[in-house]
Amino acid sequence: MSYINKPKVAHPSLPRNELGLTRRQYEGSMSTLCAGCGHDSITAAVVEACWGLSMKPEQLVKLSGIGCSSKTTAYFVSGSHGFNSVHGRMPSIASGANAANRGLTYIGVSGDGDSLSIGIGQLVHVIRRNVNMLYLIENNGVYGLTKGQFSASADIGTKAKRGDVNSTPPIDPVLLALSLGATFVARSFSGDKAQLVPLIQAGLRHNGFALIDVLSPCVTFNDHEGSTKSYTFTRENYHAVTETDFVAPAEVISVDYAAGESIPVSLHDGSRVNLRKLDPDYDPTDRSAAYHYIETKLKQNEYVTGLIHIDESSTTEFHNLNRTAKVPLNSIPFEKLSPGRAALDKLMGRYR
Amino acid sequence: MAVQAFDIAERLQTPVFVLSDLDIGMNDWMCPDLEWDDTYRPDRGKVLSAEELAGLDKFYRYVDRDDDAIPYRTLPGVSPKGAYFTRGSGHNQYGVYTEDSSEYQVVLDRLKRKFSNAPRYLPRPAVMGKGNNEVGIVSFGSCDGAIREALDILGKQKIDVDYLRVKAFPFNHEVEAFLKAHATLFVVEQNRDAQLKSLLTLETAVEKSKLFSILSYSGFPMSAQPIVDGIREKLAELPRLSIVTR
Repeated sequence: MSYINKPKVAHPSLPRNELGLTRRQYEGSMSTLCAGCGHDSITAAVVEACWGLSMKPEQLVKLSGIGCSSKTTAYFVSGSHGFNSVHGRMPSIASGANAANRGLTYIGVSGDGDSLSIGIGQLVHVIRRNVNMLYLIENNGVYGLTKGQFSASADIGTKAKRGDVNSTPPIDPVLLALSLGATFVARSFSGDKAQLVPLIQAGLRHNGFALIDVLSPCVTFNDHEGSTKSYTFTRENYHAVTETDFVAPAEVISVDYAAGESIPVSLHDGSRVNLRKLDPDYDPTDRSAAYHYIETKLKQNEYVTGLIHIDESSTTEFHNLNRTAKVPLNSIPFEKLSPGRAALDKLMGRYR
Repeated sequence: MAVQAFDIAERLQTPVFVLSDLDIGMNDWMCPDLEWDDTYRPDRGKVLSAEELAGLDKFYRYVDRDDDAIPYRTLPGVSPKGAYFTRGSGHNQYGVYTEDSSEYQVVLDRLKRKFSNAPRYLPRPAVMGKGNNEVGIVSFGSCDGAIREALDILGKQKIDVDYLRVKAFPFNHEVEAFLKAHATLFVVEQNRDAQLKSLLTLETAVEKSKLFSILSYSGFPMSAQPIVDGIREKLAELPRLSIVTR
């Protein structure tokens, strides 16, 4: 266990958000992950992001599959419903819940094993369906719970703790999402909270599927020399291509940047993402260009981070395409949901 | 059946599997008009509203408040007081992670009681025949048509056979009573391994020696003749034949 359970007492001087809640009220139960696990830093970033957005805890739904990463949904926002699905099947649960109630905010937490091996079929279809949710991949390149075997995101040449060298090509979740037409694709590092928090906030507010691949070193099985997902390697080969500021709707008018410095992207709820390009040749709104850029950098062993691609003009968002009910299905009276006997008789009449 | 399956799933808070097979699913069937009862209202089971939650000191997801082994649940988005985490690891009845054996067993024992009580919510078996309590058929699913035809043929040959079609698992007590009442039982099913017969011997106190399998697994839908032949052959070996035939 990485730390002892903190008492749920808030100091009166703790800052409060618009709802009058402190950060402590966005925490969850005690983490049982290894001390120093990157995943705990991501949990802290999620807490910060939700607090900053003044999100009502009961308006958030936390979903996950199986794995170290998937355990973390218990460690943030204890006032939200959470669900550990079957391994790799979180997208199905998220899609179903989302279809039944579009008014809630959905956050899915998964890992490289859960998303890129057993659950890859589900991942590609939740991207394709553009389900309105934030999907975090806590990517450490190994199966931590089963003691450190290579996962599908392990790079060629990376060394396991026992010394085995991986020779199987990896699946890169960012390239995968770009190739499938995802409208919000980002990559970050668990050790860079300043970058991660606005990305999470923007992902939660994006109207459609938002993927953030977060490199999250496994301190127990993948943090040694020769690993390409260790803290040291990640810090040395980390290349931020954009800097992201999330600007809430109320602040949009007051915050501005000089022309040429930033690309402001308006989100559907009135909030805004300000992207500052660190590489002048990079265009995050051009999917093909983004793909080419990421692929080139990967070949040079560089992890490109930041908001890699965003498309707020897409009309393929799940609810938009499927014309789902605006109110939660559970609040629609049954009389309105069931067309009744007369409609059934009419339907059967067509087959006589 | 689908409507009922949803009601059972919500009442028992557990997945319900509706079994079908290739014959039911892919062949054309004559069937009566589908009916809908306009007075039907779904059973959402034990769901607490925001008002009910407000009246509670604290909500615990897995506490058996009504002593029926079914705890209350809540819907997302209703109240932060109703939040709970459906975890993949061991938890106690308060929904909290635990590695304490006794706390964990309380939850497993409640689930055991829930499944033992489940048949009261499930469809009862369909029973046909004169109730002579000598020879019976137990079956399920798409064997039904072939069995009814076989019963007809056997009836014309003055052999009366009762028939119970299982409609749900865990078995209703009527299944056990039917097995107990009949001296000779034919378990008709379309699989190589006699899966229904295995379940009957596992889940009931039936004597294995009075169960005989009639199996069909040729890849074609079952027909009546193998059932008629199977029953006639076995009954010929048994001294009881004279009692059954009229």
